Amino acid sequence: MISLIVLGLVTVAFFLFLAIQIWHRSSRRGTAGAVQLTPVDLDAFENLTDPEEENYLRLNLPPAEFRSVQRSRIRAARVYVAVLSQNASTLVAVGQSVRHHPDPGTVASGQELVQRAIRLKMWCVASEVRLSAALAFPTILSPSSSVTGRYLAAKHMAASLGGQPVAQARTTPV
Amino acid sequence: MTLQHYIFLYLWLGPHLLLLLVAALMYRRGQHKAFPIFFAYLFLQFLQSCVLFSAYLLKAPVIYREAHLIGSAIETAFQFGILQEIFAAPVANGAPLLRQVARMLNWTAAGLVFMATVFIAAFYYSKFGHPMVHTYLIVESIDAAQCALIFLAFLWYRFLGLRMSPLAFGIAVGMGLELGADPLVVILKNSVSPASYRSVDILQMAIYHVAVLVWVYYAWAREKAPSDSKAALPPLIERAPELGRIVRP
Repeated sequence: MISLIVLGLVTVAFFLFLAIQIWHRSSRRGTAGAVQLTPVDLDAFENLTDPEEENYLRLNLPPAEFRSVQRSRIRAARVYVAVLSQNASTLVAVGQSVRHHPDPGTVASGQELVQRAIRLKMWCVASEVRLSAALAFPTILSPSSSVTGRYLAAKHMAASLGGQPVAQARTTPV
Repeated sequence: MTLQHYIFLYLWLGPHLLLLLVAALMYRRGQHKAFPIFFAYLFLQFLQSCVLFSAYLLKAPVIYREAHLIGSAIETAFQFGILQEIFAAPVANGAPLLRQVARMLNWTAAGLVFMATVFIAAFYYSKFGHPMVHTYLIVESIDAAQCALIFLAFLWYRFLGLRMSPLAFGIAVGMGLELGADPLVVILKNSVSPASYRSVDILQMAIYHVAVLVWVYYAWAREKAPSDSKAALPPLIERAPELGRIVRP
């Protein structure tokens, strides 16, 4: 009897979830999401995840102090990755917003941007996992900054989609 | 013939005829290219209903049972394929990303089926000697795993910050209704007398009818741009300086 009650509750919760999705979709119809990007200091992020910098600290600090400093650096890097991930979502929304544009070139660029931003988003998740592991074992695992290049490439595409040249953007092959 | 029998016949035939309308709408809009497995699934369900209804009219229970069993097995494989289509729709243009998503989904599906099997086996532990319990276990585990995958599909789009296309949304909701009805039927059939089983079947068929209507609606619905498409570019240009702020100083 208990098993039936549990199964019933799960089924009702699932149907309720579907109903909420329909309601949510119909209430958002025709409204463009607010586009908000958070500026990120990529130099600082790269510094936090630089293996050479880490090596320098490892050689010049006592082990206990190195672990403490490294953990603080990793915590800061995680905040950066979270912001990059949030910005990737914004870039996806920007790419998706031109799906109905009359110019096929803009539509194609938008699709390409969506692809890159999704890849960036997945890399952000992988980076967050890696950073969490590095936080647990700061002396064994090193954080990675490979996500920076992907972010720059996606961001550069978004800026050129808007028709504005991005003079200082560093293009990194993704 | 009673009114209940007419309702039963309508709910059997009506939704399956509507499946052809869904297929026609998809074909007219070229959506069959984006969701080929779902498109084939519509015809599969239609064919299966034709075979089953013929067996019902000819009063051939053995053919009915076998056709139902084989059809259900093929349907299950198609349902996993459709779920993969929904997950992969946002990355359909990028082959490496598509492979990555497919691999991720296969592992997730396998994990979910395993977890559902363990969870449901715990329910049926006391009835393991019963001849039908293993069939129930497999069917319900797969249903539960597929419902969980539909739930994850919505989360996947939310995570990516993407809005599902109308058809992808309709397929997900319709399949959710179709698959979610099965556990409901199990609960009701365990709670009512065998004399009321026909009413439970009618309820399940009614839910399936709603699912097909959802497919019809979302196959017919056109995707609306968030704003006027001609006005889509100016906001982007407006945003460009903001994007530039992220660039190295």
